Amino acid sequence: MADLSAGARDPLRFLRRHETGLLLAIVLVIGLTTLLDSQHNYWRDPWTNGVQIMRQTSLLGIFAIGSAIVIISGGIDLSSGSVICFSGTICATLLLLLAPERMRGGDAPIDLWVLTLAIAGTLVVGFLIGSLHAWLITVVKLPPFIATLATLVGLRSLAWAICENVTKATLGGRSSQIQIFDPRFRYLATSVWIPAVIFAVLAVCAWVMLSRTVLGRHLYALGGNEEAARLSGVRTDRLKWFAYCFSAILSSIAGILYICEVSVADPQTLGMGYELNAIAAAVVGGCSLQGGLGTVEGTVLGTIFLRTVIDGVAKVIKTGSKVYEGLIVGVVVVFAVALSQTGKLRGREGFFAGPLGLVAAINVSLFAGVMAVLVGPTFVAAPIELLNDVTKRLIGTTLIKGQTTLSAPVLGVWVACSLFALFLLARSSLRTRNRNLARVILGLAIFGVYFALDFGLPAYQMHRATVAVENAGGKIETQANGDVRVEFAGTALDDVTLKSLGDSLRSLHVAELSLAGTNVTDDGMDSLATLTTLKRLDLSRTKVDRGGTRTLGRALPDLDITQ
Amino acid sequence: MRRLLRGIFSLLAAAIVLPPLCSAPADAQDLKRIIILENGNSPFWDAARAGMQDAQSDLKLRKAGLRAVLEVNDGSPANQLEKLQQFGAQSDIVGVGVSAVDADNVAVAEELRKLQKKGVKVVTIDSDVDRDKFRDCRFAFIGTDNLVGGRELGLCAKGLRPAGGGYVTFVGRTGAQNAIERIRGFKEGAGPKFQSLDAMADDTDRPRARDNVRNAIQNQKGKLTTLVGIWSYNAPAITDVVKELGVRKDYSIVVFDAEPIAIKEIENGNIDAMVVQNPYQMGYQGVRLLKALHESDQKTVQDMLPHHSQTDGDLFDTGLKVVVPNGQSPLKREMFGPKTDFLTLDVFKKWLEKYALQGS
Repeated sequence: MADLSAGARDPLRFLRRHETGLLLAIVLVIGLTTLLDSQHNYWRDPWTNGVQIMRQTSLLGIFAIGSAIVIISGGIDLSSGSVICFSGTICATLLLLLAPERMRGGDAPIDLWVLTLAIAGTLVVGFLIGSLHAWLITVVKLPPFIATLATLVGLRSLAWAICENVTKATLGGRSSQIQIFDPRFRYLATSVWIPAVIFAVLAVCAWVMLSRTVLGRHLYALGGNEEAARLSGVRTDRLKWFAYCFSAILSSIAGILYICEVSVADPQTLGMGYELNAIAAAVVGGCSLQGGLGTVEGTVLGTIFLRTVIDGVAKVIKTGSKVYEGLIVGVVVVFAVALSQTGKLRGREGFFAGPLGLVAAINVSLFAGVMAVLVGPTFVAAPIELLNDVTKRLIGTTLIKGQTTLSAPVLGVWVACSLFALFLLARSSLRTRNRNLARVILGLAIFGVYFALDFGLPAYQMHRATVAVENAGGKIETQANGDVRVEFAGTALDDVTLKSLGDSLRSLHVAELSLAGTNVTDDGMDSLATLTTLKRLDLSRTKVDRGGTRTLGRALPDLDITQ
Repeated sequence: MRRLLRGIFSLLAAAIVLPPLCSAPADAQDLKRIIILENGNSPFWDAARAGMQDAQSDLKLRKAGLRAVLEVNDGSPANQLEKLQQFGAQSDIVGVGVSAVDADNVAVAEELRKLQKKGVKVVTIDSDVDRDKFRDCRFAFIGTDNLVGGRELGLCAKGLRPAGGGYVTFVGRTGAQNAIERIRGFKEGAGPKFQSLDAMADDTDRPRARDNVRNAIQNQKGKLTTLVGIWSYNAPAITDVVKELGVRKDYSIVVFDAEPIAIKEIENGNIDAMVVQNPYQMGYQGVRLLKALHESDQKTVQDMLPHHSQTDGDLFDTGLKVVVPNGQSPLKREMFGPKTDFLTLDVFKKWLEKYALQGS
């Protein structure tokens, strides 16, 4: 309420709103994805990609609004994933019971009255689940977390049991899933526009309800301070009943749409973990888990934001995006929520003050270091890749190629240490002038160390590698095109020595390696798999066979092997 | 102070978010992709990936402007569908090999049709779509018939215990297509003297897989004679619990797939027989066929599927192996189908070595 009266006085309130920030963040994510995606799919085919994002957003958005209402009223609904699973299964079960022949995959469409009855039945089930939650919370006095946790695990199990028994009774064989064939029913989700319209209508209804009705004001009051709301005559138990029913019914609608979308009701996997996506969308959208705060428009934008981030990760990383998806979404959620609470943080001494702050600084530094190791030396190359050639030339020698010569572990340690030094500076109690001086010195030191490592370390490693290779009887030549060739041909080099030379050969950036006539066997080949610069390998007159070079071929697909 | 912190945070955010986004090597980004979409992580797919990588170098994919990649999947129909929709929205994909989570799934079938309409070549690998309804969704199937595999595993059980008895099948998801077919095949192969006591699902949760074995042994005492591992990680779950309870001599243990740990366990005498597919060849031949289809290389297509237009001519069989610990096993070559390879562990290990594989 205070927010509303403040808004009347502040004409620029719109710009300061969390929703505006989210909108900008969405535009930024879309822009970044368009830019970083090597195929620029958003630019080339905006329609297909828009439909793709819309499809996922509207399904998630429908039950995220439900979760947001419960969160605003001061509760939490952990059960939405299971309610989706349960109501989806119930809908499929009702269809199976009412039209068993059609559900077996016959071409004839399911009658409209059957569809209507199944959908209505499912929504009633949603209402019943919501009422169960409200009863457990208001009468049995279970905390909302426990009540919905119980249904989170319980409903999925029940759905599975129902599915197995109903399929046995109607189809003759026990099955843990029910297939949906009817294209007319599936059109509810495959059309994409129907879920989008449902999402939009529900969002508008929820928005009107929350911001324009007494019911909405009471929900905020309930979330803000339950005791005060009750004492001022608000029927809090009724309100909770409404909130949990609203959430469960929305999840049921999503459940129906999900089984249409994936064309199967599979209680073992349907909606698994979706409740967390819904809660994430709500909190990113500005809802506070303490209750009393949050908006429908924020939740809608939060949902769009989450889905664009996930879609962006898939577009940019292309293959194996799932590996990084969770990490990126996790980081984004923390940032989005932290930024939305800047008001609360104002007046604090700093994020990294005190002993906990010190440990947090270590945590963040280590995390950044690990990330640097994981993504390897392309770490520094990443932003450089985006620049044009002229800018690259201006930046510096080793960066021209868009690559650092530092190995991943060294880079990781440099990142972690530099960041930690910055945190220590931020924690220190230096006065402004001294602090500025310290900043400059530290900045110079960090870059100094980087360039020293980038130039010095390879030179030192190169020297050591040269000595090691020569001691083992090898000859090093640099060819006209700059490629390094190492020749062991005819020496008595064996697997043990070759393995011990692995690091040296890597430091030399060897492009051509001749092991012809040496004593190396299959065992030694693994040590060559990390030589990413290797282009040609001569293994003639050795005991290495096809099996030995297979692993090498997998690690270095462009390697030309002579055998 | 706050500004500095904000600056640090922004840098940190960029450091975290940007590198993975740009981690693909620059030259790889110009290559068109051949993707194989798996149906749940396991060492089975590591072998398939090795096959794809070998095909990539043997068939000079990079020179042809292509690269082959394995795309992971959490094994649910919803995730598989989302991945396929994602492929449809990208322009650098020329071929998709998919291991169908559900053979009957209309949504997945429709998405495959859409991909084909866009000009993307589609085959199924390891797990096919329903051949009566959705045969047109893919050009061919590369893999082994799971029903036949299940039958061979059933024959193993029958050969080990001619008197029959009760058996329990352990699996990740009872609803998964390959599970349904393997379990059905096992029943057929084992014959009427065997009774199914339970099919226990663990949702790919490894500790739960062990609990299931423990519960089966305790609850079915007296009736249970054979423990059947249907998904690859069920094998170590079974052997761990059997060792822990010291009841090895009471049960026959037959399993699908040869995870590295399962190979160790058969060596130690804790598994009686394994039925092994050839994921390496699935990956290799999948890439080979998709490349040939993309390049309209009729000779290779003809070579792989000479009878493509005839009934079941669109199935490329990558073969099955029955592996027994040694020559003393009661199981003999003649008990199995003519197309199945019958190997002792030594011979099987040599085969793995030849292809530099840890498991299959």
